[in-house]
Amino acid sequence: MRTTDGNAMKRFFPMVLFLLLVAAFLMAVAVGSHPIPLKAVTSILLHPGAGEWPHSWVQILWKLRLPRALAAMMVGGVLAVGGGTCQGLFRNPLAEPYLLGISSGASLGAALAIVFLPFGAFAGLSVIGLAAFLGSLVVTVTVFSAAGRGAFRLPATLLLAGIAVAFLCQSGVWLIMALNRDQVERITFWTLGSLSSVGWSGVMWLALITAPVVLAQMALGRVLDVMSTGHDGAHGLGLDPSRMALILLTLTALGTAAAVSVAGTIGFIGLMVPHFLRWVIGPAHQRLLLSSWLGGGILLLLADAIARTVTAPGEIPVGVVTALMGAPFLLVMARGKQQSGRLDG
Amino acid sequence: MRRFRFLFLVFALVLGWTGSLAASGQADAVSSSSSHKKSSKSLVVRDFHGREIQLDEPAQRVVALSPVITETVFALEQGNSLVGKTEYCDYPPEAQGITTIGSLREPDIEAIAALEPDLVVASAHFSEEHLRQLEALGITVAVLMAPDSLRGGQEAVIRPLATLLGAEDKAKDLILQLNQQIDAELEKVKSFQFQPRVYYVVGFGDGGDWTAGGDTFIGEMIELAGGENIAQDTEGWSFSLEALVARDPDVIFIPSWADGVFQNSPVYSDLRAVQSGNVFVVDENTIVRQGPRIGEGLASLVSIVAQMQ
Repeated sequence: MRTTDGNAMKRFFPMVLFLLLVAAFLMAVAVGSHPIPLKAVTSILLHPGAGEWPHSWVQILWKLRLPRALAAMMVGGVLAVGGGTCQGLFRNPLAEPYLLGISSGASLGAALAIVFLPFGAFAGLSVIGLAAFLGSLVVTVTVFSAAGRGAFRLPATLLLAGIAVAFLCQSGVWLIMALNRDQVERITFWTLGSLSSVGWSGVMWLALITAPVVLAQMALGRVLDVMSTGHDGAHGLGLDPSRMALILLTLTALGTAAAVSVAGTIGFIGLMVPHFLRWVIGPAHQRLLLSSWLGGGILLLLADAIARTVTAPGEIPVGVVTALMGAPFLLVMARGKQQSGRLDG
Repeated sequence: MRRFRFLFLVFALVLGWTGSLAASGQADAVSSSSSHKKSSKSLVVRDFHGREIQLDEPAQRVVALSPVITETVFALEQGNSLVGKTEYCDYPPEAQGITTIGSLREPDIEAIAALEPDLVVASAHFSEEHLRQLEALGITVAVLMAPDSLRGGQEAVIRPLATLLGAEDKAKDLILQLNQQIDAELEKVKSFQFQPRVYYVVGFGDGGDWTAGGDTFIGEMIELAGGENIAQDTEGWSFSLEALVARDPDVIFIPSWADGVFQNSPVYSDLRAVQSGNVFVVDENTIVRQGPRIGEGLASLVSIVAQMQ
């Protein structure tokens, strides 16, 4: 994989991923707890108003599977891009988008909403989702200001501040759970992540936030290349590394917050996908982030399809599937790296 | 480890019991034979764990650690003897004035001890640790839990509780009434021509879709009331919106907190049952508590199915 042929392969890799994404998307729309023949699926998607198939099938495809698949693709994509950004920025293979306390901030927001304002929606998004979104952003700002401006020169400070705030939020969640035992299940299942209630408004919300975020992160891919070699290099090129780090992390936080507000804290994708792709196609960030978006989308589409079908007509939380798929994979990879003697990709 | 401790406890209890028998000799042996008329007849029941619970006289200060126990104590007209209850014990309204000793899963042992009860009655969700703690304080604890069946609560909860409260005559009446009510409802069901397809909402929306599967007691109640549970083929509580849309039930049962929200949520609002106004609020507590109101719970389901005829 690291020979000269490899370069051509690396260049075409995003193309391959794109085709896989299309395949995964079609598969996600075609399968579900209720069997709908492939012929009907294509016909309903191409001519939704034709009326030759049962009304419930049209409902299932247009109101449930299609928005859900689009959401899975965008959530998986933005999480993986966020992970790729963090891993490059912190020069650490363990970095992931939930690093700065974002997931625990989201959980705290969601838990508060579940207990105090369990119903209601605003602009088509549930109050719980909005609270999770605000929770992640509040936590990010807190971490940034707690660590101080100097922190962007020394990532360890930022990571420590993130861990501290994460613990703070987590204890808040546990307190809420202890005081509201009847809501423990809802809070737990929210944390495990699910795409079961995503509708078109959720899809619009995701597209509105994650599309510009992901594009901006890819556009900053070159900057990330320089930053990941160390701050001296960045200074040498006239970049202000603190400012760049702030911008990149803010983008990551925004994208992750949007993902979490719609799907809960789905784990492993942001860690695993960029980690694996860095190993396959190398550290050039523009290509890496593009591939991560595609790869994250593929993975979450597959994981959600499994979550929807394996216990049909019931569902299992998609976060369980991503972790089950991800953990062995990471173990195998870590072993391979140990043999090749390099751990930083 | 925990199991060993429990076994040790049982062993110690048995030793202690046989020891005290030997020491007190005849007097004890006399009072424990229930047919004897001279001494005050001791009250003995076997609880859910097979433990023998014995009182010398009807309990005067009772703490109920479950809503079903509170409801049953009142149904037996022994509400005056209730000195403590959990925060979930919301029925009957008279129960509201009674001291709360914590939640169903986390009863406050200190608060219970402070009430100086002569009997604590627990039911589902009561942990072994709490049982041990209370017994270590010398408090008599009975765990009374109904098996999942329509009439299961009668012998598992109502009758033994009545014995411990000295209200056996009232229990006889109560069980008789309950059986008459249940029989009358089941009789109505026999005359139904149409078996509507039912969906029972346990949860919906953000947290996923949850219903009562075929192996649950609620699922059984739906079938007994003449409905066909559309989640009959599932086990447990997990369901999906897709399956709900595909199976498009005739009638939907919802808990009161979901009323209005469910009918107005996207996708759910397009369901046939919602469109035709066949969404009914069901008081889940009358069903799942399996107490003296179970006949009422069955009747509420049957009356909805009757409307669908």
